[in-house]
Amino acid sequence: MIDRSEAEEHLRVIRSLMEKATVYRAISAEAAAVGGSLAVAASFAFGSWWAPQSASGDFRVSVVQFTGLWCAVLAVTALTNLFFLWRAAQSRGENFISSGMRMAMRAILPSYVVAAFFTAMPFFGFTSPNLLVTAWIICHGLALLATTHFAPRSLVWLGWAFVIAGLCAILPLVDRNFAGFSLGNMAGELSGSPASRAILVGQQWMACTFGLFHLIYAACTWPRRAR
Amino acid sequence: MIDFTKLDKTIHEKARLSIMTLLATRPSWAFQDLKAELNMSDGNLITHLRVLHEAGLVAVTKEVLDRPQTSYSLTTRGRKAFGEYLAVLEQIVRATQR
Repeated sequence: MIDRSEAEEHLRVIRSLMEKATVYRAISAEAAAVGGSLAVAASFAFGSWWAPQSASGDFRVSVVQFTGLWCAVLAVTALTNLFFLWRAAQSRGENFISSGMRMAMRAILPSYVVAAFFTAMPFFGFTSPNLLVTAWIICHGLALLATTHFAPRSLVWLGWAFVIAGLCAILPLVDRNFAGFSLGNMAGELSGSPASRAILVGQQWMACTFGLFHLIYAACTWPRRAR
Repeated sequence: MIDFTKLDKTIHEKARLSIMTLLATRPSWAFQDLKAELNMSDGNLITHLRVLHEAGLVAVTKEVLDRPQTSYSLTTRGRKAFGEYLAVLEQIVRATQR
């Protein structure tokens, strides 16, 4: 015979273990490392950061090309992530499309639909890369935060980092008093036309958030083999 | 009336209860993953798994992928026993709440 406190203690053990075992990591550390490195590389390759391309200081990338570049980075990173998630599911003996994955997809979908809407806008004449980048950063952050109930803590922190960075990125767009908040201004005045500067600042935000944040996340969550 | 005979003594031990709980969450678990999740020594984990296996609650699969790997899963009997064990615990808590 066991008493109530013992039964409760056993139920507590069962519950905490089940919660721990059903945690779903929607972004693998390996994919974050690949995506983060790609984002930094793409930003440097196409932004060349502090050294604009032409003599007048203008940067020769249109908003459509800018969007296309980051869609390509997203596609490679998403495929890499799917590969590593598939490999992890295989090693656990689970189906690739597990209940955890379905739950994650349902949670992140609304935010990514909004992001996709913003992504399509440059193809219809919308020309503000800064607003586009801000929308991407905030939507990615909100998508990650939508998985809070079953995600590991590291992903939730990553989500908050994106949301906070996105809000910082939007300040110079809504109020000129915050113009000094843009990364370009922090690192010194950027030359070139306003359109060119906007793309450069966009590239910087992409490198700092999708690049640096994902690299930090990958370093913190890199799988360590049990000895 | 609570049927205490359904409170399986093999499962009731805390370490084995933890193993059974983890095995109930996925189709199968590799030995190394179980060890990492439960923070148990090799010897301790093997002993408990052997007890569960001999009781017919856990199945063992040995395969060689890139290296030899032993995986464990709940048998049908194990899954049923775990469900019944849970039900008894819930009954005890509910009965003493009244």
